[in-house]
Amino acid sequence: MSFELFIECIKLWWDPVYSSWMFFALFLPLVILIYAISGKDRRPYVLLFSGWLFFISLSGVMFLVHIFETLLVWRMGIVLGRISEDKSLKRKERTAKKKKLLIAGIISLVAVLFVLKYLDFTGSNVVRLLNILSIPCEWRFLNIAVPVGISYFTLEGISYLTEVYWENIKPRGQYMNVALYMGFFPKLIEGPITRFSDVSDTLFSGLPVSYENLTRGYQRILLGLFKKLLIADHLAPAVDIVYKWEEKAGSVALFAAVIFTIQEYMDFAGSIDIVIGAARIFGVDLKENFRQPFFAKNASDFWHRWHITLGTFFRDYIFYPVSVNKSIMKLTKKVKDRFGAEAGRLTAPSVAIFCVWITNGIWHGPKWNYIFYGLYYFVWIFIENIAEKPFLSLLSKMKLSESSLIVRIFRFIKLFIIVITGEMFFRADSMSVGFEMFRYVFTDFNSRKLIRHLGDMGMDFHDYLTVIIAFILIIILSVLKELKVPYRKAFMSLPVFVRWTAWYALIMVIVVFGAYGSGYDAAGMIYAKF
Amino acid sequence: MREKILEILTEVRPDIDFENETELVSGNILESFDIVQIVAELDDEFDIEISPKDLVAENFNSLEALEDLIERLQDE
Repeated sequence: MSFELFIECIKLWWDPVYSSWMFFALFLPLVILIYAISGKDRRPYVLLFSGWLFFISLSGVMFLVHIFETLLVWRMGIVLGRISEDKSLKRKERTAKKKKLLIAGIISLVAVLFVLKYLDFTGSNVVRLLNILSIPCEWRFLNIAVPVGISYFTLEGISYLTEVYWENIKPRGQYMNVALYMGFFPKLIEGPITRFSDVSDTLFSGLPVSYENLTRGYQRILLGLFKKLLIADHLAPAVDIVYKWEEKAGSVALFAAVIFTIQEYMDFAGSIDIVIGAARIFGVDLKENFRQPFFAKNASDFWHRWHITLGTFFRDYIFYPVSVNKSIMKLTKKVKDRFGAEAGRLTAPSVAIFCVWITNGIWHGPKWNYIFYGLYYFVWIFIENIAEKPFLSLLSKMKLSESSLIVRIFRFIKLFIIVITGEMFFRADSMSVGFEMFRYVFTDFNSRKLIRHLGDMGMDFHDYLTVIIAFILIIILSVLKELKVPYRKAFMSLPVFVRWTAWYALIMVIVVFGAYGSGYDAAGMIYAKF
Repeated sequence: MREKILEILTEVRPDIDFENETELVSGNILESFDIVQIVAELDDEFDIEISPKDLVAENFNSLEALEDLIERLQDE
């Protein structure tokens, strides 16, 4: 059997999502079994090779891109480490040498990502611009198959090199360590974007599979499946239908944005639950990626709670370095002298958050909608930073506390509008469709059209009921978490047969009410394509 | 030095009890915007260069931690 045929055979029975039965009921248990019966020293290799098999099954020959990047990061890390320890050089010389190498490393990683993910987009837009300027030319699309998870492991490679450059971590001599860090299969497709220091104590130690980790891991996986299969995947066909934008009405546009926001959150947060649960079984604690985002007090806080690991990546590797950059500091002083202290105060963070949000938009993919989405949040966060102080003084004049119900309701409504509008553009087929949907909300709301349309959205009465009940349960859970109610402790204090009955009931609910079958093929993992 | 740091911190965030708080960053009390502003002021005041490498929670969690950071950077 040729290698290509072998790959095709694997692809036939392999569904590339963590919520597929093939993953959590066959692949994962098999890896756990092999891992558990292997010796301590061999366990990390079991994780590495199963990750590679997982990767090959999803991306075929493009797996070599992953190998190339891990080799590059590993070697560069070693060289950076050597320069750090080279006492024959002065500190400044060492830093300059390391800086050059770090920049070369980051450019190499970004260049690979650019060629694979953004070349067609950039080329076709340049050609379009030239055509507008009456220069005839055309772009021949390359349509390269992008390897799975490249947007995530590229950032992890950048993080590793930067931390070695900063001397926060010692570079690893063994290739296996870097390869496993960037290729640990649970987090390969959708993150969370992991720092080397988060996992270095556990991932390479070959920790035994404990009963505690196994049960807690699978419990977390069940919670993820609940969110993904009962809510996100049930909504997927409806989201696809409303975003075709054939039924034009403001009510449909608003409904589309709301159900997409719910679908996206449940899909991503659910998948991350599965990822964190799967990693936990091997004794590896990955960072949380969500913290009840809809309880945020403003857009900035929302991003401290939504896709947290992406936010902290941008904060540590873009926001801070740009903010404290010497040229930016000089600019700050000039602005301060000319326009006053307040303008000076805002200069560095504003330039830095612009860099963060344009990168955030581009990171999501080669689409103008995503770039717009990034700039949209830049504008909101910028406005909030200017308006926060006057808003707080207004509250004190009105003798209103920041934690009062009316202020919290106001903040929630404001956040809801910001997020929903953002998602309307984010998911729209094009920018022009996004703007049209937005315009219809104000010019032709027509709620009757939406009510008539509800029946032909690929969801029957039972689907709607399942989504609503499951959604309410998740909201209750989120409220308990936000209020720091120790519900897990209370649950664990119940008699063992009650707990196990509850878990079996949850499994049955997922099996019976989850969304499966050919009608749900479109429900891959939303964040896997970024 | 302590008084000067406290003055800078209080100017940026008058609502925080900097003398007793020990989880300024890990407790999400100071925001990244505040930290950038504090860095600019400290760099100016103490003639030091706080780099992105130093912008970690351990260095900014308390007044004492900031004092240690500045002393370390002045020695370098």
